[in-house]
Amino acid sequence: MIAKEVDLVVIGGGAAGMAAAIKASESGLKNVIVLERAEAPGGLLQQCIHNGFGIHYFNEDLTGPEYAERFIERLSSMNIRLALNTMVTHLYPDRSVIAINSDWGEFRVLPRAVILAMGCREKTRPQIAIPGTRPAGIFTAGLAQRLVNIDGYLPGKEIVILGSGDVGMIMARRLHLEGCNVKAVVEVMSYTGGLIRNKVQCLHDFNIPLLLEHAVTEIYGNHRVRGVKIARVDKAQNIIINSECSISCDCLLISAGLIPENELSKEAGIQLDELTDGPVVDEFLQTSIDGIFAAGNVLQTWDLVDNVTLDGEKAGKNAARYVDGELMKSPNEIKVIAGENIKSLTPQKIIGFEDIELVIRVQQPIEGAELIVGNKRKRYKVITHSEVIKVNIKASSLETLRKKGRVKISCFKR
Amino acid sequence: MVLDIKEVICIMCPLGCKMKVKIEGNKISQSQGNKCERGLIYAYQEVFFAGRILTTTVKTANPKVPLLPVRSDKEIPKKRLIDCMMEIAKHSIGDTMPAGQIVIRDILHLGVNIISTRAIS
Repeated sequence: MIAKEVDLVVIGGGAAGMAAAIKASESGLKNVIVLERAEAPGGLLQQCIHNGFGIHYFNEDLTGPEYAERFIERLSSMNIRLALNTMVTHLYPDRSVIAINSDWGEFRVLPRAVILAMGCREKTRPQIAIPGTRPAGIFTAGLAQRLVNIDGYLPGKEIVILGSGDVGMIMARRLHLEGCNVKAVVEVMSYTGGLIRNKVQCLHDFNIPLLLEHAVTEIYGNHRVRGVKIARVDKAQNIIINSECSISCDCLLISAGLIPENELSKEAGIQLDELTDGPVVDEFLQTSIDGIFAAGNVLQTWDLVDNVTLDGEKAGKNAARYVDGELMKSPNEIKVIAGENIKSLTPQKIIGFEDIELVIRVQQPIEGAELIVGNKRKRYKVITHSEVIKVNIKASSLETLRKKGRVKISCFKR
Repeated sequence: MVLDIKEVICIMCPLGCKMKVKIEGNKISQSQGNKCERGLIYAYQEVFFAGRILTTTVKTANPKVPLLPVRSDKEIPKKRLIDCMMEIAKHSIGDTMPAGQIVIRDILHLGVNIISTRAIS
């Protein structure tokens, strides 16, 4: 088996992986390789043909392919090896990586640092347990997006979408524009899962019905989906009896959330977090294994690609510092604890002496919110579940926190 | 003078204020529901110049890349989006195309071009 010794291997060439490789290379790492499963870099961005990307990072409103192209250009102008059509099959605790492609066969990479940038997957029907038959015509929203935008197929003509996450709402608009009848977007919560901008520009603009506090309770059809049964739910998301009705359709799209893809992390024995479903990391984005870092949607599901890029850059910079032996570590770590109304947060632990950026996601939107970080309070006009909040902890306050050994984050209504 | 009341949801921040605005001629004379001034600016834009960037695909002759992603280079009036989709459906391109190239010039005489958002080689 060919063995390649490198400074850094990046697993995944999407938004996070490209940013990580570029930053690591700019930070002085000479020998960087990106391993990408698909035939082109860019990851999910290539099928996200809509605009809304780059507003924060570039101060421009770009489409997914345009956003990806900026990084592909930079990547190819640098001394970074990009191995396409390359599947990573194993990751071991000693950081060695086994991968396979048609040029090199099965090969081993022995890196001084690894960045995990494998992204995430969509929840499928079994994960949300909808009863009924198993006909054709049930897709995740992201798969439908690929079929429509890359391959040129419509998933159906009469569409019901379950879940009002951003992908679900964007597909509602896309399918409406392509001539489908989008009969309803069904959401179990009392508010949309995705951004307000998508609610207005994808649903309201085209009068697509949004059924809040509703669930799909059954799927009909033998060979092909014939329809779905929906019902209202109460505050505890229990189905309200006698509120059921049927909608005929030939396609059900599921947009029920994303799960970080951590099969390789699990194999390597990297500790995972129950709240994020991603690796437990410190403020350098280093996982429980020294020299293995994680960035982007493999770490937690992000709201905007701009944030994924920044996360990738952070991991790239810190991986370079790690290789140069520059990451300063305290023997006493500070645990970051999720309190009231916190859905997820990273990093889960603080080990160093520098300013920290916490990334927080709340469970429920709160108007007039107060975020409590240790003994500091910060007020917000609104905090929503659909956007991450970034909060800084100054290096000067770390010593006090280190004595306590923990810092708790909570979010309340004022 | 034309008097009209419209509902607008502001998208300037996650609050998503539901606004009711009173329209008199070419002005918003009164607004309700917006919690800040930005709502008014947004509502004015939304009532008088509601436009959207249109993103879709155009058929190609390249079997490896059957669709070219495209966008409008300016906003298209909301009411003309479907008309533009029907027009774009009539077009197809060859098997190569650089990024940022005009695919349809001045679509439906709206003063807007449809441009490619990736290269196909």
